[in-house]
Amino acid sequence: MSYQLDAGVCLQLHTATPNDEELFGSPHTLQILSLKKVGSKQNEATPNSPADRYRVVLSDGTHFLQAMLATQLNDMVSEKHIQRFTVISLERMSCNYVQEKRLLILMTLRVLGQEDVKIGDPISLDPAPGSAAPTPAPAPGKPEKAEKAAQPTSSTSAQPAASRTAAKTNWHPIEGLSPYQNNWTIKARVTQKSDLKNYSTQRGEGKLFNVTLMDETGEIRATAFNQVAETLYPKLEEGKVYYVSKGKVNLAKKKFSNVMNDYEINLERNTEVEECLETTNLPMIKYSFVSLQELQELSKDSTCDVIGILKEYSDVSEITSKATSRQLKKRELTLVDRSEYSVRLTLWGNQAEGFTPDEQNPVIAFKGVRVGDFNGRSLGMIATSTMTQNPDIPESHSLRGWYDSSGNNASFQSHTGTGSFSGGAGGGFTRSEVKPLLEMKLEANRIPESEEKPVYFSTKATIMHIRGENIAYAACEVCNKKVVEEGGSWRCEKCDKTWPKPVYRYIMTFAVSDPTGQLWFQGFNEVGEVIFDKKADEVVEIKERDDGQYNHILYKSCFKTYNFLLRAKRDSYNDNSRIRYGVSRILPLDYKEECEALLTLMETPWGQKDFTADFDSMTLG
Amino acid sequence: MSEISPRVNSAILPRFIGQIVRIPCKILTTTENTVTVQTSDGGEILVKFTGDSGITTTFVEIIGHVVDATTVRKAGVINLKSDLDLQVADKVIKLIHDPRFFSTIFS
Repeated sequence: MSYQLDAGVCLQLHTATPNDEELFGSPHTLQILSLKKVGSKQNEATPNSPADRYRVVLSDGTHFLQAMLATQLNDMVSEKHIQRFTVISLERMSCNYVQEKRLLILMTLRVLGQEDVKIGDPISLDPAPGSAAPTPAPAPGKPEKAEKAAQPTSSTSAQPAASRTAAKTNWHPIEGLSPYQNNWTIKARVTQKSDLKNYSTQRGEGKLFNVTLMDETGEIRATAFNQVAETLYPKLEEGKVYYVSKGKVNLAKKKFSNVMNDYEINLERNTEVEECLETTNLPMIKYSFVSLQELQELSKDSTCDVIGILKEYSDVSEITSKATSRQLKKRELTLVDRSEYSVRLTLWGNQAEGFTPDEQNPVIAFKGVRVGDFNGRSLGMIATSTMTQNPDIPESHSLRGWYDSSGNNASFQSHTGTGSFSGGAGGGFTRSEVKPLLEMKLEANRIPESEEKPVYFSTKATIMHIRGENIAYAACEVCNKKVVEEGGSWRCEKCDKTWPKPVYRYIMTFAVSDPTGQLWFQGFNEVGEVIFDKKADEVVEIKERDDGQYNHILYKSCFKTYNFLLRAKRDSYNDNSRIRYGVSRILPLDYKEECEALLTLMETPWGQKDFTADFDSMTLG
Repeated sequence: MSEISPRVNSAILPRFIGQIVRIPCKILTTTENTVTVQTSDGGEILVKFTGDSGITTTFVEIIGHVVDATTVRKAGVINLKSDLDLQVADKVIKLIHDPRFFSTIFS
């Protein structure tokens, strides 16, 4: 009689959760393909010893899997009620996990009948557990399946080596690192390595160094202290790629690092660092370059990436730091790029001393350099900046091509010469920072006496009145300083040059208003040229010639609205201390742009509130 | 209230029948004594006038009396330049007529 087995049950048993009561408690018709005694090495002469356990191969006609017979059923084996090819109704079983492996135990079963052959052509579901040879293939056509079942065995015994190679192909992304998971391995490039620094605190002395590790998903800072620092310092080289594992992931101390990551790694004694010797699939430094012309748009003290051709560089010079009174070595590089702008970039310390260009005018890429406002715009290296000569990236190649063909003959603008206020013009007019006059006044007046540096503000205001008495001064064509009339010609004290006729430059004081208040601003030549749309020479000439026309010009220039970038500086004289507002940039309004900005403002919570209540309670004073 | 001339688009115009409004718009077609214009919300209005229209540019602001939901009798015109972002103008018009703001602007 041929029995119908419950096909599909084996697969269910193989994948079920251990507390699947329904599955494990309902009867299933299955066939035993083999029985094998395992456990203590009792010889056959002592059957039924309590330590005997029987391993069973169960089939549902489609799949077969391993299970153990519960010891209370051992009698059924010894009394030959169940043997090879017996068909049973399995009524109760249990599923346990032993060392991460699933173990099925047959608890209660009922013999249905005995067959002579295997029913169906079942295939194996699970790899054989442990190192014992798996149950032999019940039928001749199955040896290759058994071999396959044997394969996982050998590999599982070689587990440690396998996991290491697996880690090498399945490394964790830096972006995914967190303190809650410790068995990671990252594959990252050292993009920056600090010196081995000594420090002393109240608790004692020590040394440390840190590196920035970067892969395709992000970057993270890693620090090593004392003993670990000494061991790892020679091992980690800037520019090379390593597998790092078993470091401790902590919250980042943002004070000490510019790296964009909430976490950082502490390299410890058991941290493993292994150099990666593959030459493909290596994490490359990710840049977001801004053109040198675009530097104007960035605010002072922000960081950016740039790439350019090294046009020239200075020798190493030493200066004394105003802040720390220490000697600092520095070197100035001049970079140019296709926007036809040039910029000065400062290297410091050891990097300045050791700098040598790879060739006559190499391409250099910089990551994370700080934007300064010296001479308009300048760049400087900071601890986390990196510098790479002739990197193998497309931007580098195109710069090389441009320079070699035309760039080396081009003339370049620097940010001083672009008509913005010389003498350290600030950043750009930032729309998001625009404040009404009243707010700006309140904020500026909070600038402490001690603050030496100017504070920049952006605002929109309307010119109400221009002081006409002193509108321009006679200037030296070369340095813009005042020239003094001496016997018919005009002499510049600074350059010691004389001119027959001076060039006039605006210097003006004017009152502006907006709905919240009124202030006086100071402006120089650029401001005058925008407001009057005439050169200072012309206005001075009109002023001297025709008072009426001069006043008319002044009047006509009033009641126009501009966007201003202001440098607010505290000025103290005698006992009084006042804020002076110098105009750094003056921008006529683009109505469309302003309209959009106002509409955006209306969409903010401020714009949406019902302010009629405010109006009623407002008093003018 | 009768002295005001709020800016409108074609959807808001019908609320002001018998009153004076301003319509920033684009000239579509012209005849001897009418002009068809496109308003900031894309609708079309007929503008009636006598004599010279005074219209010299593509974008204008028509000031006039509202005759019915789609007709205005021109009282004056301001010629604007050859570009005017009507979408931006429409956003502003909608804001003006928001009940929270209208009474404050035109009190």
